[in-house]
Amino acid sequence: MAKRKKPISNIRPTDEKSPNALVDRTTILVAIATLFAFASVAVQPISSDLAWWQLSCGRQAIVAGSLWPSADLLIDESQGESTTVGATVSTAIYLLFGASGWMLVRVAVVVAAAALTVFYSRRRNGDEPTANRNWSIQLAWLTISLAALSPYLDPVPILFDVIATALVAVWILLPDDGRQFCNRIDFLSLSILFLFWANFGNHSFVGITMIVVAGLSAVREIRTLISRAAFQRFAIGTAIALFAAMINPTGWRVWVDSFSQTVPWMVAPPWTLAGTDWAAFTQVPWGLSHWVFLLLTLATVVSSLAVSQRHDHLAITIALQFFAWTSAVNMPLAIIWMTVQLLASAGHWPLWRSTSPSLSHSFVSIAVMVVVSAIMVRTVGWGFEADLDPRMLENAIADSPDTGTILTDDPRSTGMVAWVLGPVKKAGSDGAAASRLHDEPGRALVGGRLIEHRRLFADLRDSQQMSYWRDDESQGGWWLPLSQRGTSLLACSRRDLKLIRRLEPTIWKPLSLDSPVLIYARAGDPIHTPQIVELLGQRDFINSGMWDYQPPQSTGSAYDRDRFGLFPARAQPDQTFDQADVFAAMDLQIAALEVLDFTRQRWPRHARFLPAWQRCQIELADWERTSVGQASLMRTLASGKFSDADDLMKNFRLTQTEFGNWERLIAVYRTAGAGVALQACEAVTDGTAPNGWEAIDQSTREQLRYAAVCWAIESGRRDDAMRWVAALKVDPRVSMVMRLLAQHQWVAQGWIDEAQTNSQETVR
Amino acid sequence: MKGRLPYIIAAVLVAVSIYWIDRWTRRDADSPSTLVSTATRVRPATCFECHGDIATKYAAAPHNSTLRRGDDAEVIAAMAGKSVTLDGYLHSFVERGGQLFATHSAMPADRRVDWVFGSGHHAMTPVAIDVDPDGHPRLTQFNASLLANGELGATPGIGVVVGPRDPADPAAVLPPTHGKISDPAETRRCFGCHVSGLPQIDGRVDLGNLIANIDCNRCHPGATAHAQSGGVAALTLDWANLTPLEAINRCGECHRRADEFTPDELGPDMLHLVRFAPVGMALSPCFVNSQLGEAATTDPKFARFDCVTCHDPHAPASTDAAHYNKSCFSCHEFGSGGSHGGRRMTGGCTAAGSDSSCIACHMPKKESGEGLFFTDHWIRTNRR
Repeated sequence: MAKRKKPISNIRPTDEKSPNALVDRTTILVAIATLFAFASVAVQPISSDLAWWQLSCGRQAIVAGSLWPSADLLIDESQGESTTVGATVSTAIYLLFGASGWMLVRVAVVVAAAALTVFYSRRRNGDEPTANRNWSIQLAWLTISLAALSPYLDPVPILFDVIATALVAVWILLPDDGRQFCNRIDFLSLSILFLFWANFGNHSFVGITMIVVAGLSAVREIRTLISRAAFQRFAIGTAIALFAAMINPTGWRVWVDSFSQTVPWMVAPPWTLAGTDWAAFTQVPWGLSHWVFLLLTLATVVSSLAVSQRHDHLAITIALQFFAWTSAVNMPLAIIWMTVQLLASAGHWPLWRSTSPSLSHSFVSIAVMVVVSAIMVRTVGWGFEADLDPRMLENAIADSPDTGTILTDDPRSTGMVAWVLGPVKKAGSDGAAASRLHDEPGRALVGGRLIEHRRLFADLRDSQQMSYWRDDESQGGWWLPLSQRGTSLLACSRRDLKLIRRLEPTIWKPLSLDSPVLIYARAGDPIHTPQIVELLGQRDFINSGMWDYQPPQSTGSAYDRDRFGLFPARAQPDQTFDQADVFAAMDLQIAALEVLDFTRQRWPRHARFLPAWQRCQIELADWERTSVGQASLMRTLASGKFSDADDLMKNFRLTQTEFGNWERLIAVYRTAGAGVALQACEAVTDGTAPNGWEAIDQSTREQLRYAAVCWAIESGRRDDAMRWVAALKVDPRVSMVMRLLAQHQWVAQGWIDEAQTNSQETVR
Repeated sequence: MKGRLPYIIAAVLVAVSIYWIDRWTRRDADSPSTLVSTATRVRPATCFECHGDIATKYAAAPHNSTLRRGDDAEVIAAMAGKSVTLDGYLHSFVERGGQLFATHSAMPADRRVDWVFGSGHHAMTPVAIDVDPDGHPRLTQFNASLLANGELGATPGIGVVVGPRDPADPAAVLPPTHGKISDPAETRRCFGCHVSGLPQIDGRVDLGNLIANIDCNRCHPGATAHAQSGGVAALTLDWANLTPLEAINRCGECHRRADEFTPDELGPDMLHLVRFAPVGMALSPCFVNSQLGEAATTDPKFARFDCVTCHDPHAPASTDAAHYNKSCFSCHEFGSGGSHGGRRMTGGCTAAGSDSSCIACHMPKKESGEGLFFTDHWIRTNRR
């Protein structure tokens, strides 16, 4: 063990003689900033994709007394999980206190972390003059870490993994305080800790790795009595932890399951982990957590270079870095380890031992707190994130008499569907048979079934309906597996736009349009036919442009970020753009444009607007081109950057000659007195407010008249659109292309039935 | 520093392994479909060095001419200059500059024929290719196809009718089109059954480099290794080891298999099933009974019964009734009905004798669309 350094002799505390009023005031400021920062971190809506799965498992355990709730809930699962107790506790909190109970867990974790940090800091440095600046800086560190850990503070297994990692870190680091623990209490606390970890969290393998690595590091210095004692402590601790963790519903298998979830790339083909938190750190989308992880890594490296860090701590850091980089799911555990380690070693930092006044530290702390608060306050909320709102899902399937099976794509879908379906009745109990879920990706990983799950969804996403064979002689195609499984419903996240797009032409038809998890039923299934037919009507309606999009308003429910309805006008842009994307993926481009029209008014410069809008225009232009062989001027202008000839020609596969024709056409329009209408057309295609449509009449060039039709449909002016289309259809001066396009619009908008009633008016 | 050296080395090793794992996991992908696989394929000519008997007959096999380019001289000769009226519009094929084009009397532009599907034994359907907004190839099946009688007719499954459309028909209000557009997935499925290799570039089908028609690799996995070893290495798939159901389902990957339909889609009223021979086979009492019980696999009186019992996939289908009768008589014999010594008796068959064609009555040709006739493989007593 490295010797502790003596205090540096040139420390000259600034406040050793008399209390400094300014320092007191900054301390108050630090306290206020800390309060704000911690509150903004704590009061974040529940967003874990595993939230409903945790609740479903817990409810199954409570209602059915099931030891392995996942085996009850999933058809493909035969074993079970070790975390039944954790799920039960989380569910009990939810059942007793609702979403607020879960929120209070978050708050409690944050408060406990802050309290423990201040407690240990003051206990260690309380009698030293550097105390104030130490705990303020340490709180700042903690704030940054907690902000990074914020997505992992919901009471699901990863939170318990984080807590357990922190406690194991404390168990390892405490002797650094100058005491050597090798007594019954020390080992009893470790056994309780691993008992807790195995029953609440999934990554107890990380904990045992930390202890083993620390023990192995002690072997190097076993020459001294202290090192020998340390080695004994770790060796006995390892044995105790191994056995304590086995007291769980799955027994010794907890270690296999935990290993699978810690190093998933060793048990499942890496391609099956893509797009999940199990993928390598460099292969997941980065957020605040990932940047903080890098910051902490840098700080740890600097720390190990600046001060003499204990070898075992260094070894644990290397091990956890390995886990985190190879599978991002371990990142929060590495974050908490590095945080605890940095806080514990803070006293050794030269920074702390410098002679700089404590005020600068306080100001740094305040600055950090302000930045963290500014970042976190944007997403403050109380209750569940809107993406976890199961109410629309309930409308789709809750009262369905379906007895088939349900295939779900991710943990969020699985959990939400499981929660809506209710607890599964065990064989022999009363009650009608009900739908059951196939699998949950986490359980599939542990059970070695992930590849089947991924392949099935890859085939759905790739439209591989019929059977085919792979190089490894396995059989692909989604039709047969789903038939053999008796799959009657598919549940997919609305984030998976590719899947939604590819399901559109298949027999799978959606039962809802705006749920966070979309449910699809088989066309022709008599149980769901009424819902499918009803939804077809809704699709036609929203794609007719005869409605105004209104963003979801706060109803003060547990699923509104604005829990108390204080800011009713505050819409979430991402939620709105997501809805537009879903409509576009469902081939409802007009409906998507309707939603985007709202976003154009509300957030005109939002980065997601133009790409989404142009995507719709490209698809509509493609529809025109496949219908009559040529896209209209308006769609061509709208869907491409017309100034970029190469891009336009590439997008629309226009030849140089065709492109030249477009340019000449526009020039003709400009010189032929259609300038105002053309400007209006260009205004629409630029995404700005259209003006000048009143200039359009029978004498206007046909392309601009058709552009007016498109704009009228997209902006809900149905009567204008119908009148203009009817005029185009019968006008003998209009070219065959435009007449055909008008005819296609007529059919696509479902105006056939109205043709008779409106014929007289149309002719006029 | 000295004490920390092992940890520095460990850190470097961990960093290297993280880098290696990251690269490995990035490159990892699911095993590809054999169709899009870039694995080495054996050329048919190489196979024919040893299997010369197959080479001769395979040249005339429909499997060997199931996909042709639109500028193929035979295709142009067969289709150019022909017209048909569909839904009241005149559809014609014309040759310009060595290319075949489809014209439509109500459409502003002609479209080039890029590929022609089908060997011509039943029909040849011309298609045009374009790409969707994501750059994926997409085909348009033209409304008019060339039928076996050499005349143009309505392409099956398109929904157009020869002659004028009845004004009372709801479809009469639909705008005219060149044909039916298939999405990229359906396009890939269409090509998938008419090629032996369908390479992809960045996830998009590369039609420019496809391997047209069904060659040895398609039905005989492991053919490359077999050829490389001079015939020593066994094929990965031995058709003789498949059960009859597995065998007909292998054919059914393209010719459709019964388990791809729901039970209510497999009724005698579903006339379109006549196009899907393995589906009919799977429904036939002959096939079902041959699958039942231990005797089906051990009793030599129960001959193996699957597609290749009657058909040689390397050759055109036989037109000789005696060829098919032979298969029937391997299980059946003329008699008064019931069974005798394990052989099913023909019972009330009124046919004159063993020189009659069994399939004429039990597997008659049926019309699947206007001018399209297929042998009904649902072997049964057809009551008229």
